[in-house]
Amino acid sequence: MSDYNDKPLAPLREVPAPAGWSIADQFDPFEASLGPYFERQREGAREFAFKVDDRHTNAQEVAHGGALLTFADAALGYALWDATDRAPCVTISQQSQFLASAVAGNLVTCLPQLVRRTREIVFMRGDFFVDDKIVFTASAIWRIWPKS
Amino acid sequence: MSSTTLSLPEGYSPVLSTSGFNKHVGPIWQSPDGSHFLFDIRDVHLNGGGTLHGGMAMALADIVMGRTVRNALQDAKALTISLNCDLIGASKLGDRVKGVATITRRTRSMVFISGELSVEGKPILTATGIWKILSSE
Repeated sequence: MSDYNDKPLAPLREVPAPAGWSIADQFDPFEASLGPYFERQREGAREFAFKVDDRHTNAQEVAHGGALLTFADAALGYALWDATDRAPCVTISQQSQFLASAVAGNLVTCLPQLVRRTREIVFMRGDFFVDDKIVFTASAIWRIWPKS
Repeated sequence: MSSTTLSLPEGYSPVLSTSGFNKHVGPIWQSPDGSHFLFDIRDVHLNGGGTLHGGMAMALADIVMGRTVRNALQDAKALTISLNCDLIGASKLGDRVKGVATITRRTRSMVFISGELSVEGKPILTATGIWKILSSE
């Protein structure tokens, strides 16, 4: 875990940040290949977003489950890092529900919640919206290795 | 971008890889009888620790299970409504991931299914999911 990349990666594709958002640093090549992901401050925490494009869609022309699963893993991981001073961590379980479709051009947003933290386990959850419509929800269990 | 170094057995076909997410992350190969799927980990699929990204692993489970549902339904289409994944082992650059899925129960409108991803016989992810069958009219 000590060899984790700590240098921000350039997104594979340049996508301008929507008004009020900025580009979030990405450290995982897979996230950089689907990003950029965006961030802004909300209620004292970071809210995250990505804009659905042709890298994220399925044959029905809506956001592929994999794009939402990956963005969810990234958003919950960012929030976990913010709460733990970037403790090394891995996802060990994620429960995901697909509630409605997102289409190309939609901005999918999430303000993640840390539900409970123990020494080695963190319970996270997030609801994902397009405007005010919920499209996806996830709860996840992460294993952490606290610094100290 | 690293290229595929493992040779592929005869008769495998790519899963819907001509556009969108599957083209971006793929190819994902289906065996001739549809019983399993193969996926070779390239550098673009990794996290910052050099192992397969959890999002890519869950995406692969979604694709393997979704394609197995589609194969069973023949012409009807279906959408993932629930996917629960346990990430139980790590995998790395160059590993060939094998995916299998088993339908637990099919009703008129739903398919319940489980899936597993493994590398050289060692499980890295187990999953259960629910797919909603779209009415054809």
